[in-house]
Amino acid sequence: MSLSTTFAEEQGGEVLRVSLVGSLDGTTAPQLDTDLTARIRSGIRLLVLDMKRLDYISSAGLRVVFKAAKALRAAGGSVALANRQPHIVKVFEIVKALPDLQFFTNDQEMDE
Amino acid sequence: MFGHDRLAETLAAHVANDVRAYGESVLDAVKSFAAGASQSDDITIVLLKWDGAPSMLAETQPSSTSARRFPARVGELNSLFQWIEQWLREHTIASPELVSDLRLVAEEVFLNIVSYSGLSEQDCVQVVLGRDASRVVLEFVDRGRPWNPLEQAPEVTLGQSTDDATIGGLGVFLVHYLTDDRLYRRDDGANRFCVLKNLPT
Repeated sequence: MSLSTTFAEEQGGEVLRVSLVGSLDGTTAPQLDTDLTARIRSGIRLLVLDMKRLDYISSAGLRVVFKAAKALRAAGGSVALANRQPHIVKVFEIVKALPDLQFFTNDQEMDE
Repeated sequence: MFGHDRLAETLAAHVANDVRAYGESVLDAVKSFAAGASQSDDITIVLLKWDGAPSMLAETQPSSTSARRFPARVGELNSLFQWIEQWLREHTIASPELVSDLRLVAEEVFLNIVSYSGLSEQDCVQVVLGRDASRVVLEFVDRGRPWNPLEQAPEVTLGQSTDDATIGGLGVFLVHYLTDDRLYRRDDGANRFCVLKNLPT
């Protein structure tokens, strides 16, 4: 089980689209964290995580997403989660109840 | 005659951890009971000491179980997933939802043990899968430091910043949500954490 990622900048570098294919778990999350941290810079207004072909996410993966959302929010940007499949939505729904995890203000931010 | 009752009384009065001392106290009691009378037959004592502790699986009474040891390192996750999925298939209960839920539960528990037990990469975590007609049982046994995931959700799991600390207990939260019962026991120098999940009816 692995994760492959494709980074694409759109709209003159204001939007960073990252396609995630495979499994975002304890073995693959650290690399994505490193890659996102390196690419989140001033000027990016929107990070789109395209989860159309993401098969699995665990708490290690959620942490990377939440960490990126916090970093972008602090820089005046935001994160959108696109094309989440039902099994990925399920995991986000479970943790949505946690008070510390209100990074996404509404469902529009969750799916484009 | 010394008799069973006297033997039982002697044993109850001399409960000891040391098996040899336990045996000697029985011999002393017999000698004092005989009060110098000559011995008419030989005396044989067999003492067994059992260091094991019952698996919690015994309490949940699954009808079919399978166990495997995994080295305590993140890189073992894929082997763990594959083993669980294979087992579920063999028992014809591998619905996509159950496979996915148990995979997530197994990752969260296993990585918690790898991160907090203090085990080295050479140490192993024993994982036991079991089932009966209505549920699946997943048990993790490790010989790391005492750690009850039900009471002690880690405050920091990624890096050291306070930002990360706020979402530290995420894995434990997921395990709670995705399982129907959870048991923890520390005994015989081991952490035993057991989760139960009801099978769809």
